[in-house]
Amino acid sequence: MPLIRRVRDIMVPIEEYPVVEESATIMDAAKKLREFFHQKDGTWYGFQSLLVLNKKGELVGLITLKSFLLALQVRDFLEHMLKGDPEGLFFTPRLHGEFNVQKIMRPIDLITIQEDAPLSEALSVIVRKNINSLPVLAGSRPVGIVRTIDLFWLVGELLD
Amino acid sequence: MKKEKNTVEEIMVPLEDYNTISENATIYEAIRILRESFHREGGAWHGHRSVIVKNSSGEPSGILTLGSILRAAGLKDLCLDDPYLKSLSWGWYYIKKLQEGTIRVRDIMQPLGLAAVRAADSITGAARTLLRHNVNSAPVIKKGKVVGILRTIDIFLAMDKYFS
Repeated sequence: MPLIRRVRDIMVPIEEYPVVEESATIMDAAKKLREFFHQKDGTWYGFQSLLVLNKKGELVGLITLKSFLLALQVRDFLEHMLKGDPEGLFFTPRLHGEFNVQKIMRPIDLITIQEDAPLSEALSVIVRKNINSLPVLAGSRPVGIVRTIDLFWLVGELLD
Repeated sequence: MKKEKNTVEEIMVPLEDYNTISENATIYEAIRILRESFHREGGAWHGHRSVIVKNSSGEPSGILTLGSILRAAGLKDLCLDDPYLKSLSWGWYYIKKLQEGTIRVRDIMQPLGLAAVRAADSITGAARTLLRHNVNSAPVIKKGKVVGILRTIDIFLAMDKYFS
């Protein structure tokens, strides 16, 4: 029976997690996430979000798989718009070049947790905010991420 | 030459890949089945993070996800100032709540009817459905039957061509 543990005991450390700079494009972010993917038994496995940092190394956002779905919608919408409006081509930023991660990431007032917080708090935040990934800070410095899957593993351990 | 994948059917996970559980099962059983469904190797997880729920006729009736399990113990109502929670017994408190409860899988699953996609749907169309209902997975219907599950990750893996 594990003693009361802290978020830092079960989080994935930032050194092991995909990270992008806020100036990155959607394509950069997708490629970075792909880098972390591996195949086993014919199926793909990997992480499902990226931490977004500014040049000072501060956490400014989180990109989740949902962010990529949103990007797809924007592109789809633009294509539909452009079909009826060739002039629009001149005013629409090229998706590849200017569509950067800031437009699709989970916003600046993002939900975070301190590394020494008890696990009950992580569980409460994840459940109440209905999220799957919760960035972890030591003060204001990003140090990792804790996810539903990490908490679930703990629950499973408690049952053993 | 690699074939381009354009429809949901080409990128979904077939139904046979998933473990199943009965609608009437308890949360306790659900946790056990889910743990059998995936495991940890080092820092990486392998296996599926959802389970297909079947009704008494043996037909798929919903999807059970990790999130629904965590929400099951009514944790939304947790009072973080509770000294009992802050004690070493937190783990036992959580388990106790799970075991006491009369919650069944069908009370917390994502019902099939909530958000479904068709096997012939386009990838962007399916993405729209997942976003609209704020879910990470949806059942795939073909000729009136569930044939698979479509997840955000499947759309992500198929997305390369849309952004090159």
